[in-house]
Amino acid sequence: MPDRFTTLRERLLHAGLRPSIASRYAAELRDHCEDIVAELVAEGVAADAAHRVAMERLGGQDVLAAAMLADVRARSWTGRWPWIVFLLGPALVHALLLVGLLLMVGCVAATARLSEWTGTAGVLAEILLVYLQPVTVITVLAVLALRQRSRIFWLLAGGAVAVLVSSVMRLRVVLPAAHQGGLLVIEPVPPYAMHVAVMMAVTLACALVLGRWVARGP
Amino acid sequence: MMKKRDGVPNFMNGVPELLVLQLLKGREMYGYELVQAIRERTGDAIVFAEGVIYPVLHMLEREGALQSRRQSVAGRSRIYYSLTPAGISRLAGIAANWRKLSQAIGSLLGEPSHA
Repeated sequence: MPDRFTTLRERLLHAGLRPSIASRYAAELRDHCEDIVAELVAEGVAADAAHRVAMERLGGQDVLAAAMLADVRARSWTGRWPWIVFLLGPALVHALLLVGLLLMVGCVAATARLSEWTGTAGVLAEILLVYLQPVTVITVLAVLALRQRSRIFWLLAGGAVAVLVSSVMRLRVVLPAAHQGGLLVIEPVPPYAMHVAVMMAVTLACALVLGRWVARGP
Repeated sequence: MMKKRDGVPNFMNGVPELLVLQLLKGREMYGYELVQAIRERTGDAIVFAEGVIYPVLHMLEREGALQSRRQSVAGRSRIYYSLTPAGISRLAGIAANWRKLSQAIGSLLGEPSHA
């Protein structure tokens, strides 16, 4: 059974307090409580009674939670603006990566002779953009959601955005045929159902693991 | 009509900060130690839920008035707080405001009542 300070930490996390601050606050309160108990026991008070008095002196859960939540600067982005982190975040990461890869492939094509290596770089860029990036983003979102005790809805929504964006905004580097000399094609690729289905399954798996973890409690 | 003036202190605003900053002047302390010091120095005149000292400490640290360090004492990790130069300036400002307010109230209470 979680003790009073663990319950308070969970409550603060749900309310959007930064995980590091919530953990530190709970640890400081626990130490403070132990100090009061030690002081009272040294004065001859029975341990049970000392513990009761310590709880009263520390203050009720509502008072302790309200005091910490009063300063909004102590709240995390994930807690204050989950739609930015979980919905805009994946789209922004994908857009930045896409632009970066386009620039990189463009620079390679402009400064060097096209070779098999350019084709391999193109394939690697596609794998990075279409598979590695959404999986990484979903994993990061799952960790953030777990740490902040965010609702599973946000992870599912963020995962769906990551998958959809990576499925729709894809690129393929096509090396020129020998007789066309020097033409490199970077073209958008339409999404295909299998990719979306696999990536959605990954998101769902992350959400299930998170759900089980949160349900199991600290 | 009364005009709104900047810099007019709310009566109880700044009291927790004043206590914390004053007690940490020249000596670092951890939360429990600080609460004990407040109780002793004020003769238990200021009663508050002891746990709310930590949000005040965290807020002051976030604003650069305090710094903290962890130290292991008898197998327990304690967080000691101490004043920064910004905290010293802040203490001077709050203390000056508080003296002004205290003086004003003192003179009000000391005035003979008009019959």
